[in-house]
Parts: sequence; structure tokens; C-alpha cells
Amino acid sequence: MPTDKSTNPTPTENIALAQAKASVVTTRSIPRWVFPVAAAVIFLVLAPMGAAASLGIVTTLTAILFYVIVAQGWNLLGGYGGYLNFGAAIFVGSGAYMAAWLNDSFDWPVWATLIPGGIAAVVVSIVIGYATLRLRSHYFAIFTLVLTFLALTVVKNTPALGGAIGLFVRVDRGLDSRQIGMLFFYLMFGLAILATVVAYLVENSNFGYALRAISEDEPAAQVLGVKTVSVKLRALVLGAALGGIAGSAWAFWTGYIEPTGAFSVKIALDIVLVCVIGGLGSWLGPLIGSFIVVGLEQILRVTLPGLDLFGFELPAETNRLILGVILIVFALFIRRGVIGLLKKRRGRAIAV
Amino acid sequence: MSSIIEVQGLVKSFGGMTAVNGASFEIPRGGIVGLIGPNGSGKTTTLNLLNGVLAPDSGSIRVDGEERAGRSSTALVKAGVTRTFQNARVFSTITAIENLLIPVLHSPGRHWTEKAERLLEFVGLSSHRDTPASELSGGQQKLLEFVRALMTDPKVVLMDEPFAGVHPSVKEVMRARILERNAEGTAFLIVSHEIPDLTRLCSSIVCMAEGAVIASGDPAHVTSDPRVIEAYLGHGPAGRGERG
Repeated sequence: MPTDKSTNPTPTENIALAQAKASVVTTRSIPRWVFPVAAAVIFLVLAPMGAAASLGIVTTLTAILFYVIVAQGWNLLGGYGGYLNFGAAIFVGSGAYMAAWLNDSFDWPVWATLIPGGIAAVVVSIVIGYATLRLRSHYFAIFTLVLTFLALTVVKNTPALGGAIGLFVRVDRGLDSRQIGMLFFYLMFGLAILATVVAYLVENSNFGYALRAISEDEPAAQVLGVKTVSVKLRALVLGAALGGIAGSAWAFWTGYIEPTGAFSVKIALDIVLVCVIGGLGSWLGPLIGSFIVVGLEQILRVTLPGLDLFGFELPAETNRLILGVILIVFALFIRRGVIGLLKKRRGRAIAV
Repeated sequence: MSSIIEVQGLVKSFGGMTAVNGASFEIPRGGIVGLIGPNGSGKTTTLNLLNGVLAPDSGSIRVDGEERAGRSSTALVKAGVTRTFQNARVFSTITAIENLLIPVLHSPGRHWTEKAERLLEFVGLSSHRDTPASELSGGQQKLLEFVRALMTDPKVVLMDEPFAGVHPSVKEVMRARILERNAEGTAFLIVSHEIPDLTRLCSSIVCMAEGAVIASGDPAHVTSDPRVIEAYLGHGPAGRGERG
């Protein structure tokens, strides 16, 4: 058998290496350390606002932070793994209902319900994961949408969960509205930091590499020995846990939950919107996207209704219409989201 | 036990079309076997059967003496069988070193990074450690895919057209590194239309036609076999039969 034991590069290898170096495309991108610093600055700027800003702004920021948590969770499988799904509301709803039920039945406070809410979402996600994660692409997305309606119908017809009427959730009665606003701002703030750190760690771990490999070429990942169903299930479960915890806090924050609100397709779509606009498959994407989408939605909701346009009064849903147009523009022209404009090598393009 | 892989009576049909029809051959321990045949002869399907992408309808695949027919790709990687693809299937959004960590992500440890760095050096890609795979040239992607298949210290590597579409200098690097790994005991099954390259590299060649093995053995003997010549061209010497 012929052998060639040379270890130093031969002249032909040197030619190959020189060609290789020459062929590398140099991309101008912002240094990697800038992004964690930018995220830290965002959170540092936000930190005093819970106490200093007006209640209206605190409420808007709390909503943004809620979306950051859920979107970071969704982005694990939907962004890194490439499994676009419309099931985020199932996990938010599961957590919210677990929290509301514990509060309604046993008078548990918000702090005590966060973990059970996360566990409820995890249990639901395992069931859903085993049922759906062998499906690919659009089939998976459609199935998760169907499951959202199924969850809504089941809860609506479960008397123990309040049926169609829903459940009231009581926060400590000694607090005034300002204090309640602050309480939930800082609760969501802490959870949003936690979710962002989790996403950052995942992105830079073997788990994150596996998810991106699955997103790009799942059969090749399988051939390399990656247990793709297991990896996808772990991403779904971890994302569901974050969604469930956020849902628990959300139930207390709103004070009342009912099936149509908790298992809302609007939440499911907004989460997709947040990640697509911010940037799929990047830990910074959901953070940026939440500010843009939720912030813009709030501004449009306040400013647009009642405006006169050529003699017609703009309807209340105009903000959704504009967000829909923005989604189309991003899907067609800015497919890597805002983060894709800043970073060339990270992030995944949405398939259209 | 002299063979690392023994294939017996392998059959795989897709609907009414039989892609592999009773193929039998062996890959000797530490050998380099070439797998040739005209387009549609069942080579890639055979590779897909050997590494668990497809399950055979019947037949036996023994890896290191253990029956593995129909087992998953994950199980076959564990058993020591890895592969590369005709068109390099690297993961473009992650870096070269992150690509190498994909096959070992289920067994965490810092030593994997060191091993990946050694393998990048092995094929001259050290300077591209943190380069996204999408920014590597086609030849570099082939080399990256090759060393990615070596991360788990396989007993046998199945390579689909490793020399197709790459610069001759990269081809030389690939050839040298295959021989180097082979000298350390790794066996190879190489599917290629580049018959002169295969005859230089391989200890034996298996030729398939219409899903069956029509000749196997010494490279010079196989490439001059009239059945091989006929299967490839219908006429003329086998050496002119490189039609892609």
C-alpha cells in the first residue's frame, strides 16, 4: 500500500494554502465584544426606569421585557434550529394558567408560581415535541398553529381552569398601582436578563452549534452522529421553560387571564415578528426586535386610531396592518433582521 | 477478523426501481477500497446504506464483526463509520473549528477543541480556525469536511467523490492526508469517477453496475476487466471512462 508520511507542507500544499488564504472573503463586521457590551448598556439604561419613569412607560417597558423573555426562548428552536413555529402562546398560556390556578386554589404568590409555571410549559413541550419534532419545515409550523387552537379549546372547556370565563389572579393587596408596576417591571427585567444570558450561552456552546447545523442541513448533522430529535427537543423544552416562567409573571401582571388571551395567536405571531425583525438565530435579535416591535406597536396603537386619512378615520387595527407590512419588508429584503445588518456571519435568514 | 466492513447480499429498492441488487464486498481492516461504476450503478445508495442514511430491504452489513444493517447514522458513527459527501456539506454559518465540534457535541470535553485544532493543522486550515465555513473555498470545504469525519477517530471513512471539482493542489493535499491516516490504521471506502486517482490510492477496487458488484480486487485487474469496460463505456479502455 502506498504511503506518504510527510508532515511539512509540500510545495503543492503550499500553493493550495496560499490559494486558500487568498480566497477568504474579508468581511467588515463589528468586533464581537461590542454586542455583549451593547446589551449590558441597554439593561443598565433600563434599570432605573422602573422606579423613575411614568407608569405608562413602565408598563410599555414591562411588555417589551416580557416579549424579550418569550422571544429568547422561541429563538432557540425557531431561530438557531430553523424550526419556525407558531406555538409560543401554548407555553406562555400553560405557565399563565398554572400560576393562575395555584393562586386561585392555594393563594400562591407570584414568586412561588414561576417555577411551577415553567414546569407546566416544559411538560406540555415534551408532549408536543415528541408529537411534532419529526416533522420538518412548514408541516411543523402548521402543526404548532393547530396545537395553539387545540390548547385554547381544551382550556376553554375545562371548568377547573375557569372555562371560557378564565381566572382572576391576585397580587398582594397592600400594593398600589405604581408599586405593582415597579414590581412587575423588575421581575420581567430580571427574567429578561436571565433569558438573554441563557441565549448567549447557548449560542456559544456545542448545543448552539448543533442547532445551527440542524437549521442548515439536518440530514448532514444526523450523518455526523448528532441526535437531532433530542437536540431539537431540548431547545423546545428550554424555550418552553422560559415562556412558561414569563407566562406565570404575565398572569399576575395582567391580574386576569382567559383562554383567548392566554393562548392568543397574536402572541404567537408577535414572537415570530420580534425574532424575524431583530434577527433569527442571534441572542441579540430578540432583544432588539422586542423594542422595535412592541415599542412601535404601542406608539402606533396610541397615535393612529382616530386619525383622519382622506376623509376616512383609521381603524384601531391599523397598527397590525403596518406591522404586517414591516414583516413582509423584512422577509423580502432584510432577511437576517436588524442584527444581520450589523453582523455578517451570525444569524440566519428567514426562508421565504 | 480481516475485514472492517463486510457487505453481503445488500438490496435496496425505491418503488419499482432496485438501486442496489445483492451487492457483496469487503473493506479490509486498514485498507483503501475504491468504489466505481457508471452513473446510476448504486454507489451513493450503497454509501447511504453503509452509514445508516437508508435501511436495506435485505442483506447484511457487518462492521467490525457486528451486524449493523438498518441501524441509525448515530449508531454507525458510534460503531466507527463516518462519511463525507459528494458536494461538501459543511455548516456555513459556523466557523471551521465549530464545524469540527459537531460530531462530538454529545460527549463534552475541552480536549475536543485541541483535537479539532490539530486536525485543522493536519490539512493546513489552522489560519482559518475562526473563519465561517461559508468563506472557505470549495477545496478548503472538502478538506474541512474530511477532517470533520476524522473527529471521532473512525475505523472507516466513507468518502463520496473527494477529488471532484477541486484544484489539483488541494487534491494532492487530500490524497496525502488520506494516505497518512490510512498508515495509522483508518480504512477508507472512496467513491470516485477519477479512476487514475483511485488506482494510485487504493489497495483494491469494487465496480458496481445496475446495483450489483460486477468486479472487485486489484485496481489494475478491475480497470482492465471487460465487464467493467463494458459497463462504463460499452467499448474502449476503462481509463477513458471518466464521464462524471
